[in-house]
Amino acid sequence: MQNTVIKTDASGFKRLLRTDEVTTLLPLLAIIAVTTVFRPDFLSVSNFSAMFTQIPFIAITALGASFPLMTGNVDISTGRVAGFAGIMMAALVIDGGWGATEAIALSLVCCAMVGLFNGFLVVYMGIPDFVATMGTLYMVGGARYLFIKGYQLTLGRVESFRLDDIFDGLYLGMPLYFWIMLILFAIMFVVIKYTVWGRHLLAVGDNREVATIVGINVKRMRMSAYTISSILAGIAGILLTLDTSLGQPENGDGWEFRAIAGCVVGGVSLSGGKCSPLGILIGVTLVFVAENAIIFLGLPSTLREAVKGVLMAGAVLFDIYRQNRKVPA
Amino acid sequence: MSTKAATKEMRRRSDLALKVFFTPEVGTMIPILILSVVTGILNPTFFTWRYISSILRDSIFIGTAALAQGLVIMSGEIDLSVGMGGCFAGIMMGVACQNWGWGLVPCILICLATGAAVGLINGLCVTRLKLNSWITTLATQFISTGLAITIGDGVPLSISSLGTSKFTRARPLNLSWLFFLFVAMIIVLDLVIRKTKFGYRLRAVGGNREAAEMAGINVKKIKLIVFLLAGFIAACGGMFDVLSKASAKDTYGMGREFRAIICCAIGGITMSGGAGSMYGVGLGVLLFHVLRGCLNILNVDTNVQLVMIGAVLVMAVILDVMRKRFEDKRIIKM
Repeated sequence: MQNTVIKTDASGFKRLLRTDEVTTLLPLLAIIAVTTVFRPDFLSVSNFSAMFTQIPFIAITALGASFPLMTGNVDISTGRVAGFAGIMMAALVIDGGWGATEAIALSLVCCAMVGLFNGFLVVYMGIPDFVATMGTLYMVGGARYLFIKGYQLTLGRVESFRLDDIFDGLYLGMPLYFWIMLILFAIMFVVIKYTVWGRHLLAVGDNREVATIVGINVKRMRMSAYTISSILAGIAGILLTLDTSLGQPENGDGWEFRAIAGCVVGGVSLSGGKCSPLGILIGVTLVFVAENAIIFLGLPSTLREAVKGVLMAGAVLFDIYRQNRKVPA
Repeated sequence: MSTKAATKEMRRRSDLALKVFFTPEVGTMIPILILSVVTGILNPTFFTWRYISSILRDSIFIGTAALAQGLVIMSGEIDLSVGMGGCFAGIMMGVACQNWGWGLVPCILICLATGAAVGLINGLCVTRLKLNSWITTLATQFISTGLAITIGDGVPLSISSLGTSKFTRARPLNLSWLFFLFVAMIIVLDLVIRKTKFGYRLRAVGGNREAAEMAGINVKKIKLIVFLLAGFIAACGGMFDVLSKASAKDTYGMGREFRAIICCAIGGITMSGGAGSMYGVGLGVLLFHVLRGCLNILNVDTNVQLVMIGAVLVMAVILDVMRKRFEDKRIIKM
């Protein structure tokens, strides 16, 4: 925004190049191009559709995790919350004999409670965000296992449960949860860009004092960011459970940091106030493509973690570089 | 008049009692004692020296990571690479011994140097490039995990040729020499924090960064040293692992950074920096392991244990926040 005001002579194309989405898209295209040169089968439809069957879960979690980041806080409990929601839904259906809608609704309500608890600890108690959400990470992470009673929670066993059949089919060549992900991203795009709530969230992240002076209820906005984060994580976990038809407590382990990596690579500023759902989607895709490219290039797959670290550090560095460039103007 | 003076004296005394009660060390000792007594009554095996010493012997690994974490948190930052950085250092030690055939001293040196290098990178990124500390150290955690898994290749690297087994298997007082080394580390670090100029500046930087800067303290230099020191201590933790298990493996430090943060929180280190003591961290480590030992001996399900550990963490941090508010009130009264 600032650039357009100051450099009025910048052409439309140059301005487009400076947006977060394009700056994330360029390295993505570069990685794809380089890998394709060495291994032409990397750019096959089957490889990419295989990748896009894994991306949606992390992408939805990342979309959720971006809300606290937008307000300048971090939530590292998202992965465990996702696993918790999935297994709770499965347990309610199989052991409790609940219908699909009620089970999903109750699981998401529980997720919202976790999010409110996170928000309460961070916003009202003043506990540093990282430590507070680490506490819920442990509590929710342990609670996930309490639903297990010594046998697998297989949704297919339940005769009356038809939802996982819907999830088995392909729609326009892609599984259903892929389209659900796209719908969620579209909704959040509209919410952040065009609703008062979304603009207030960004304002709170950008400058908390100014937001307070303008009359925004900062505490309530930060609470709602944490709640949305947990609910979206819960949706991701439930989708994974419906896809695999299997309630596994290990679902969601390590998602939180992959989600944050995706957000950061996708141009969400860690200092808050900046977020673009399209950028997050590209960012998560970039993380997955980079991991996939390592295997295609014949490097040891164990380097995946290292590449994720380098990507994340690079993205944050780039963000700081971009912010420094803006300030003097 | 005299009654007024007496009530004043009484209030002063009760204030003092409250103050002592609210010091982090005492706040940690009380739950340790209560837990121990209750568990001892429920299961008398808990009170045997055999069991207690095994808890103490096991506590040094998370303990060293917690010392490193404590230093960093005191300076107002956080270090998520204390677990895997140490693990990576240990792997380098194993590689140096098994694949390169190095002797004991070069092996230990390369281990400590690797840890210090990880710490140095953390410090440089945080101070020079102005990166957020948790994202930097998360990135170095990922990188050192990747390198450790790639270099270690999933198999334990034996260090039996170093001839350290006699030293590590010795059980003075049914403890281990490494445990005494750990205690010595706590004492030295506490002296550094309380008695040296560096320690004073470290706490100043953690307590109020701007004020420290205005007072002429070189904040960047202090933070760089803190991260370097943390990497070094984390490498000591990795070395303890390798020495006591006589092999290096890429899974040793996994998740230790979080446990280290929990130990610091229940040991009374203020999470926003500036306050806390190394003895507090030591007691926090002890409480964490006593709690786990109690839950184990009472046959509590491991998953319920996770929930309880999380709850203890949240309670400890809330207690810390309350303690801070109480102290602020006292200052206002004065």
